[in-house]
Amino acid sequence: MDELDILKKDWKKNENYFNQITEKEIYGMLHKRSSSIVKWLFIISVCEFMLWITTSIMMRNNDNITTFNSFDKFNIILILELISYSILIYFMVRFYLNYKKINTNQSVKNLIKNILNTRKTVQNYIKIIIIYTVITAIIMFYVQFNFDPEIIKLYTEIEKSGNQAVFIVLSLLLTFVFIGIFTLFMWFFYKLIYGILLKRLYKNYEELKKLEI
Amino acid sequence: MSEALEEQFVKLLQENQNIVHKICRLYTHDQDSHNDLFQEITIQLWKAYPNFRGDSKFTTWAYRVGLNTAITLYRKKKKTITTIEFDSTYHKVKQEDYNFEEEEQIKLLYSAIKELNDIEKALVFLYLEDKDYSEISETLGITEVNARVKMNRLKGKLKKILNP
Repeated sequence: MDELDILKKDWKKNENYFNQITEKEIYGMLHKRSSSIVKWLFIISVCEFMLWITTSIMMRNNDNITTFNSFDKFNIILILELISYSILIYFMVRFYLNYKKINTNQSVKNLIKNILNTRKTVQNYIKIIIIYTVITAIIMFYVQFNFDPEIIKLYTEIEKSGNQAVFIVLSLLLTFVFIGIFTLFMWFFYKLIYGILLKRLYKNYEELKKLEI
Repeated sequence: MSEALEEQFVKLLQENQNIVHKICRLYTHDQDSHNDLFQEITIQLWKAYPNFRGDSKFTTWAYRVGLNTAITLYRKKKKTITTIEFDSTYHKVKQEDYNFEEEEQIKLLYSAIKELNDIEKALVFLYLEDKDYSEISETLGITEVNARVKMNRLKGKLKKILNP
């Protein structure tokens, strides 16, 4: 007799040994809150979108931006903001469409794939936003150096003393150190949150993919 | 959702609750997490119920939603009870059928199954439930051939555990 057949015999024998749940208990369960990871994924993703929207609004009301606007002859800030909102809207729509695809009435493999795709949308949004932040920083750096009267004044004075190379290198270095720390922090944060949340899903998806080879 | 629908669902689930219990039995390690998973599967079944059109049997549909919840949506709590304790919790064999050697084998098999990964457990579960390979492959989203190959490998693995 096959090992699993021995088990099957026992499995069937024990079928009626479970404590039976009453209809009343089931009614109670229907109104309890789900603790599924999809719910958490949705909450975290919405928080991420909110965080970026808030950051962008706060940045707009910042004093430095107001000063920047005074010499921003090409409306660079406006163009950058338009780009930033287009990115946000595009990814929110994609996130919503992917999220709608998640339902438990599909195969295990498709369900995991759809959950991971939804997650990937937010991940791609963050990647794009980081690239966008770096490009914005470079553009603003360039504009300030060429149009900000205070920086130009400061630069002329430094030029007179012959330290302009040190000044440029130092400014660039500071900008990149800031971006570096920011990216590292974000990366660590994501590894931690999604590592905990999605580790099992990735493992199971890999297992299912391995079966297809 | 309407009261009539709720009533219909509760009745169907109450009648077929053993399917959910069996999934919980494989995927949890103690009574608390068993109850916890049972509740989560119930919630997910209820959420998905409006999309259940009755073109498949309620049980076939419940297997799918139940396994999806256990494998994908449920957040496992840390193991607090070992597999040996699991066996003593669930494994109740009628005294008149008692066969010491077979009993030992069964205990070993259960603890071996508890050590399998989530996908392997699902395969074994559907096999124990007498599902054919076409249903197994549809539920998991793999081909029938691959389901068969994997199942044979699993049988080999279990055989080795019993006859080291």
